[in-house]
Amino acid sequence: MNRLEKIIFPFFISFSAVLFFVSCNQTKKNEVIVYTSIDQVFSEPVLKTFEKETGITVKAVFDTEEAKSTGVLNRLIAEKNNPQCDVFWSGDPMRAGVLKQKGITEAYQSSESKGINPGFIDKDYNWTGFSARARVLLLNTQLVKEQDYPKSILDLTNEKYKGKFAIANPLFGTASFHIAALFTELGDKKAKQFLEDLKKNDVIIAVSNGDVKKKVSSGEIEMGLTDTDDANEAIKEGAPVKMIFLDQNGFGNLIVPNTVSLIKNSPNNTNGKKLIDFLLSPETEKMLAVSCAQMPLHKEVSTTANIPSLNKIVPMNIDYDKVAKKAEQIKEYLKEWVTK
Amino acid sequence: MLIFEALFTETNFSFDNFSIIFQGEVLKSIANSLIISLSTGLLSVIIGTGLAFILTKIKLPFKNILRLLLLLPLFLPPYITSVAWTDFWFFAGFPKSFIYSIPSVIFILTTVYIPLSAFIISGSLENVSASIEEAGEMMSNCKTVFLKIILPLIRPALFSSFILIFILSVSEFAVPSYLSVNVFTTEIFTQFTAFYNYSSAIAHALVLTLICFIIIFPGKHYLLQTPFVSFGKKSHKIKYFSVKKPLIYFWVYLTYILLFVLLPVIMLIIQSTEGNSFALIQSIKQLSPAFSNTFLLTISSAVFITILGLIFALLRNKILDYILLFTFAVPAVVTGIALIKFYNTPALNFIYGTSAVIIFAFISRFIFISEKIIATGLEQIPPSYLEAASVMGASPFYSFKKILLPLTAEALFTAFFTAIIFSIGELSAVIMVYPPGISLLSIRIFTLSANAPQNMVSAMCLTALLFTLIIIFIMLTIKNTVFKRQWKQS
Repeated sequence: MNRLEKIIFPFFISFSAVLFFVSCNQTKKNEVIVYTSIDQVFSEPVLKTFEKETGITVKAVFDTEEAKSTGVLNRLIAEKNNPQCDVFWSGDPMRAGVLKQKGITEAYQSSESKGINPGFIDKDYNWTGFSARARVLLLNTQLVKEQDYPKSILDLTNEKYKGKFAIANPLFGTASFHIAALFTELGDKKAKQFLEDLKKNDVIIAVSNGDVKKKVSSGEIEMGLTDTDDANEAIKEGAPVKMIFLDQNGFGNLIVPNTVSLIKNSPNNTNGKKLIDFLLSPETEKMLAVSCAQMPLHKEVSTTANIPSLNKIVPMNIDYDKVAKKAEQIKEYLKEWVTK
Repeated sequence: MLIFEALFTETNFSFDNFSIIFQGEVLKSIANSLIISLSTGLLSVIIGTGLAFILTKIKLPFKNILRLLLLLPLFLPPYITSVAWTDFWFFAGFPKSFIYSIPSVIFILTTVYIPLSAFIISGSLENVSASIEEAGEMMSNCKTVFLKIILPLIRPALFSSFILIFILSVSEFAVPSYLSVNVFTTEIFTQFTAFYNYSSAIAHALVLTLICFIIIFPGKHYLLQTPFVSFGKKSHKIKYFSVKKPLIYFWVYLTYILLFVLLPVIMLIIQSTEGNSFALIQSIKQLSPAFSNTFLLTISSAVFITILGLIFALLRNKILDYILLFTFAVPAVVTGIALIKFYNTPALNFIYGTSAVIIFAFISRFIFISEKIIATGLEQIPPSYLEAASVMGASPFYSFKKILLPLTAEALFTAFFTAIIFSIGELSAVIMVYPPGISLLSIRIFTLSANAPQNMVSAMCLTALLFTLIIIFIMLTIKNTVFKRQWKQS
């Protein structure tokens, strides 16, 4: 070996050993660990604001589009016996409900939850709702005339929409919550009939809500069911799209609040409560209203005209706990429906 | 641990988790997986052989650049490649019935994995002694020499590259999912993420691994005992084929590069500039928190992978080879689950709660490839060298230090280099275990992609590609500085 080789090989090996031991460093710091299924582009600025205001270091685990908001959930379930996370910030109450059922969360009633409608809070305080999205129909305005806009989700079984609309895979994400809500609202028989009729009408099953947004924005399909934040992004990108709320003269449109839960036996319980208080505050709701058009649940939080308001939407009247349980019951049926 | 969980439902022994696999839709998904992976493997080997032949046996200008360009598809996540291709197909007016179909999945995966087969087969072609070919040419023509001498000699490399690509294709989830094709890994993913049924997901994964072993077993002799990848210099010349118009081969190769390698990259460039000329600069800013972690963790992982690969290669144990093959064949998401279940305990928190778990994830995913590369290098050392050293009184450690290590230096570097490339792109296992607050390039791209505009997603992928190319450049510079060329190609 020449001189250079004698230097480089030992250097690499020593460097790796140092890196290994540094990375194993377990020094306790003033920190809080949060797992979130909210898109990183929206959640990260909120967490950084908390960090700046409190001096508590936030370490986050985010989800990917591929995991469809279940990646962090499954990680929490797998880590149940030795929790690494303090706070779970979910995009819907269903995931929080699953954790509650598995005994992974503990009760925490934040002082900031006082301004929030009790309908958006778990009766045992295992999760608290804030900053809501809504399920919407995103339409490509270049392909669909206003007189042809559906008024109800049930209209999508009409032959004039055959092969022209999409829904995200109902096994995952807010799409699963939406379908479970329909089962709770319509009853099993009517809901199943609706889904079978959708299949006969050649519904396109997209990979995710983001994929629905992409397909409608590009004109690949005329319309699709997605969430308000995805729809808002498409509008901000200048796509020729419009979002509408369905069933305003009927059973109402599904509202999906974010939820926040405290993890049982978490390593930084006190800091976890501080983070929950911050996330439930009007300040956070205002940030999320501006960044991704999420609707504040605190009435005193004002928003601009381009952001939907709960006051102007007829919501679906549901019990979120019942919907979460229904979602578990219909999974096998939905799996068969998707693969038909 | 995984097998125990799959076989025991609650506390009772049961095959219930495996019985689900015999349902109609699941069997159909297995059939789809087999069609896709067998077709991808076959096409990759056929086309890869042609490209390897042109690269190795024909004198071409700018050979190093042509070789590097062929590697590009390996530096992009397959999911992003599929987005680029589908956007191109829509632009070109291809029908949806083709775009969302099994043939399009096969097409995309083939373009992604052809570089692997081309390099494995190219290495094997370089191993063929010129004297054998010259002897054949004295008796017959070039075509016969290729069919009767070269092809049989590189047959093990053909089979081993087919197996590698088969395993990679059958484990692939993101591309079929994006193109709405139901494959067996979709079932695994669904059981895990929609039903939270880990036992069933693991049972599915074990069946997938069993399928891989059934396909591999008939050719295990070739896989376990033949050179896998070889970039080493040889003590013999390489025989170039005399062709009438070598430029035709150059243009054929270049056409392949333009149509099947550069086209998706061009789509990404176009997408990244739509509506925002500064998307690339913004993406560099977005991804910058991940650069140093990615660099440090992939380099240190590659060192450990190389050292362990050397140790396992020196042991030359067949059972160990099968175990390593098993760890490679198991889907990455199952590897992630296994890592959580084993390391997430208070006693092992110094691993699980730190970057060390990422290093462990990389090791478990890529140790098999490293071990095979290094074993190839070791097998090329004549036993007489070590025997002579022993006769002269050299200790085993001295022989290792003065003979084995210098002669396998290039194989070690190749294993190190390959581990870096694969580690940079690895997502499925790492996403399950990465410690909070740690940012890696692959994770950051995919978490930021959720609801980022298309131009930003494409720009981030191009940034990752540039980052990978910079690391390759650094590695090749170090290699050319540290390793002296001992043999020259004519």
